[in-house]
Formats: sequence, structure tokens, C-alpha cells
Amino acid sequence: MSDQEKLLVSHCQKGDLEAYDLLMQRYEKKVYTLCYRMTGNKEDAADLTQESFLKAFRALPSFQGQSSFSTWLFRIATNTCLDERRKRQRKPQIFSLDNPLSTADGEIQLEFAGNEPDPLQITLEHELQKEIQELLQKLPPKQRAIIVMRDLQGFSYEEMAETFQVSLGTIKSRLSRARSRLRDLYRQREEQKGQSLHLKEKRGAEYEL
Amino acid sequence: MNCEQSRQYMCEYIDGILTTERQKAFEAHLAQCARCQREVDELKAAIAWLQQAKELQPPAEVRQNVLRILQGEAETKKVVRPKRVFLQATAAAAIFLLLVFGNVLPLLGPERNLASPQEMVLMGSEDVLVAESANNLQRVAGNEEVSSPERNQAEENAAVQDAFPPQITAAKANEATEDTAYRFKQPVWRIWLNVIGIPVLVVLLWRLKIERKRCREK
Repeated sequence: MSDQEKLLVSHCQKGDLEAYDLLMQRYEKKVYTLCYRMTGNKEDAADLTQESFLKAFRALPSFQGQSSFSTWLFRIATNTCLDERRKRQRKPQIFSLDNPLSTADGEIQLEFAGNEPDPLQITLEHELQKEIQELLQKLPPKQRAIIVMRDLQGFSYEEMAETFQVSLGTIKSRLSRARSRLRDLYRQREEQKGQSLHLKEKRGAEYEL
Repeated sequence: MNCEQSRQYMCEYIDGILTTERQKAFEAHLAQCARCQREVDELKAAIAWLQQAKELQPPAEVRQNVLRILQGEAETKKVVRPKRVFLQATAAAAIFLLLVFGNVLPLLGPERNLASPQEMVLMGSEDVLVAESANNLQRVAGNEEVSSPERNQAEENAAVQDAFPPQITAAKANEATEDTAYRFKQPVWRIWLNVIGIPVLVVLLWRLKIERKRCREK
């Protein structure tokens, strides 16, 4: 943790909201992305980000600086996401492949596409981001959490063990299972993509005629 | 190292956190086992693909909301805590002290404790006192004005009545108050202090507890 960050944290612990705003500016993207990867929904991600930042500020007086502030904050965010999921578990979960929010987002992207140098590149990029999220969404919540934490946020095994309150051995076996699942899903996707490309080529040929 | 062991260490190998010794053993196995090598490659590819995931920009209102809520909390803490909680605490403490002084202090003073029943009655029931003195006054007035034998007799009767019955009738009239006052040797104001003071104290303490909990939660 840098000296500047330490200073900011100590100001926040005294209730300085301006200092907290600076810390939030620093980490909001990461926290929001983490929440989005966990939920796959932008509205929920915004709510969970807000909740995480509120929880973190209230818990700041008890933050001793054992870990870096960012690790501590992401741990709060991850647990907030998992808790939320636990709370919602009774309600039926619906994940549509054509998530309305993503679709709405896509429309927004296309509107602005005219100003960008390469609209095709943007569309492809957007497609990739959507696919990544869809694949993550296929993982069971705990496996998703561990993949997001390890492979996207770069948590160490020890930090993950602390977050989930399990032993290092448990984390290793969970990560191993989660990654095999991820690999299977990735393999599936590659195969499907190969097929659909094939179909698109065929259809394209028909249209050209 | 065999395939089973290699699978066990695969994640750590990919993350580059195996000890040098184990890493060498692992790589030696990969060199021999095409299946494990393919598995490592696939895992690496899947992770690399996933890591293309980009960071997202949260809506601006997230941070604003957080600041607004925290600002509000800081203000309510400042206002609610010292004002309302302090006021209630003071009120509860005042009532508690009143109860203590009302009940304990008289017990400490030996003179008060040994006060005659008459004095207790005087302290206990003003109504009795008023009724009694009114009676006496009437009798005195009657005495001075009329001195005929009948009147005297009547007065004697009255005097007899005067000695006991007024108190009894008055006591009957004021049964509850006087009885309690007399039996427990406690003046009425102290009973009222207890009857009203204790419930008020309990309610105040209870509300105080709720208020403090609310503050802490916020």
C-alpha cells in the first residue's frame, strides 16, 4: 500500500468523505467490474458496488492495514456479491442470452459508432465482452467467484482462502475444479463457434447469390 | 511425477507459484505426457481468453449516492447522538436520582423513621388533616356559642366522636391512600413518585436503548 493511499485511508477513518471520494475514484472501476462479472447485470452491479463502498466505509475504523486497502475492499465486494446471491437463491434465476441490458448497450454503442475509427472492430470487441460474460455466467456462483478473483482480479491463494474462510487446500481444489469447468466451457464455445462460422459462411453465400 | 499428481499441481504451475523443485518435476512430466501438456495449453488458452475481459465504467451516480448516504449518516450521527440520546439519558438519570432520594434518604434519617403515627397521618393524608381540623373548628365554634345541657350532651357525643370516629370515617373515605400510607409509613408523594417515576424511568431507559442501537446501526 503506497504512502499516499495510507494517508487517504487514515483520513477516511476519521470520517473524511473527500478522501473517501478519492479512494472510490481509484477503485470504482475495479469494484464495479468485479460485481458485474459476478452478477452479469449492470443494474445489480451498480447496486452492489454502492453497497460495497458503503460497507467498506462503515468498516474502515476496524481496518488495521494487515492487507492492502484494495485487497480488503475487493474482499468486501466479493462477499457482498455472494451474500446477495445467497439472499436471492430462493427466487428463481433467469439468465437470458439476449440480456435486455446488453442489447440496450449494444444499441448505444452502435449509435456512437459513426464517430469511431473502426465500427467493425468495436462491434467485434463488444461481442467478445458479451461472450466472456455469458461464459462466466454458466459457471456455478462459487466457481465464478473464484475464477473472477484469481484470473481477473489477481488475488493470491491466501487472500482467497481468507475471503471464503476456508483452508488453502480447499481453495486449491476449488480453483482446480473451477478452471477445468472453465476450460470445458471454453472448448464448447470454440466448437460452437466453428459450427456457427460454418453456417454463417453458407448463409452468406446464399445471400450473395 | 505421474498424471494424477500433475493435475493436482496444474493450477499452481499455471500461476507460477510452485517451488523450483516441483516445477522441474512438473515440466519433466509434461515433456513426457502429451495429454497433460495439452491440458495445460487449453487451460492457459481459456484463461488468456477470459482475461481479455475489460474493465467497465460504473455509472457516475454510484459514487454520488455513496457520498450522499454517508453524508446523511454523518449528519444524523452528529444531531441524533448528542441531542436526543443525551437528553433522554439526562431525563432517565434525573428520575433515577429522584427515586433514590425519595426512597433511600428518609430511611437514613432516624427522626423521620421514628415519627409518630399522628405525624405520619399528617404527612400521609392532607385530606384527613383538613377534615379533622374542620371538625375541630366546628366543635370549638359550637362550644363557645351554645352552652345548654342538650348542646353539652351533643357536644359530649361529638367529643366522643371527635376522639375516634372522625379518623375512622376519614380513614374509610380515604381508605386506599391512608391505609397504604400508614401501613408502609410512606407519605403519598413518595408513592406517587414510585407509581409514576418507575414506569417513566423504565420507558425512558428502554427508548434510550433503542435510540443507541439505531445510532450504532447507522
